[in-house]
Amino acid sequence: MKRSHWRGFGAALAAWIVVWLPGVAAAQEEVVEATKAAQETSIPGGQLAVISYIVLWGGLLAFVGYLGWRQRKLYAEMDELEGRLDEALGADLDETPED
Amino acid sequence: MEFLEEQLGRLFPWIIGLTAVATVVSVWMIFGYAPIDREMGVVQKIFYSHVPAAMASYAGFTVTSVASLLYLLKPHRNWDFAAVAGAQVGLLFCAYVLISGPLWALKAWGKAWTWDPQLTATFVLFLLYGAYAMLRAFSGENERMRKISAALAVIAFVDIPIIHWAVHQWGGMHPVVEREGGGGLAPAMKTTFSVSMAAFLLLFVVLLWLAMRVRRLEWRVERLYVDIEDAQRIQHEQRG
Repeated sequence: MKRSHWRGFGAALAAWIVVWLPGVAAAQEEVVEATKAAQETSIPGGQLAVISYIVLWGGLLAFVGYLGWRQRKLYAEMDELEGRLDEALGADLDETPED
Repeated sequence: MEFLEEQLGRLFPWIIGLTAVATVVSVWMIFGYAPIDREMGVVQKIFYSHVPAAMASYAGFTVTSVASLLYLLKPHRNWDFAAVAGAQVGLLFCAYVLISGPLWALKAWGKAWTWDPQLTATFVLFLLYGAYAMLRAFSGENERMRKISAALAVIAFVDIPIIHWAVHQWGGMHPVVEREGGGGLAPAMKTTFSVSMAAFLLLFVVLLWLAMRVRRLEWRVERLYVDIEDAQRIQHEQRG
């Protein structure tokens, strides 16, 4: 599977969760208006549940994004360092010590 | 160890696919299949991510502590990679536990936080492994600091059983659902919880693997800097 396919799949999954989840939670919220817990605080339980899942998915995506960014940065740094090492070793081999 | 890494590397795309499927199914089950709790209402659905996240954080910190102990006994870079990656992933899930718990408590208890024994012990766990991660992030590649951090990770592990037994030993407000003394779950809720638990554990494996890969790359970059310095020094000596 190509990287662009993974990205597309990830974006579709995230979009599905973000669009679908609050809708379902809001619909279910209407059912439980009269429950015992709903009387404890004025904030609807559905909102708290949605916030919790947004935090979860936001946190997971941010962490994966951070790891991907760090990995790209490290690969770029490695390419540069390997070039510098080749240069140093090449110069070392080319130059014969003067006796 | 290299053979094991190679084999796991081959399995990795399959594990990612399985994780994606389990995640989508668990989200659907949480919001579309599991019934609404009669007592607590919709906010109870936080339970399906809160408890598995707590288990994933324990798994991450256990990896850190076991790998740290092995590193102290026989220093090998792979133990160190696993220890750092385990702490990162464990802290991510533990932070979510400390956010989702108060969101649920706001509705159920009427206030977001109390200094309940289990809550306090979880907060202390976050601080202990947070200190470990900070120590590792800012101490550089110092062998002595690596060993001091490893000792801290081993000691910090003591807090995990304390969290588990806190409810039984000191009471408190934190509910006990599945363990002894709890009221249990309805069958549909139990199935949803099991699928969510599987999805979280798969997510944990994927994140741990990715974090370990980044740590390994960091080590390779550090090695390259050392190699360049050596090559330049030899070159300088030959010229001199």
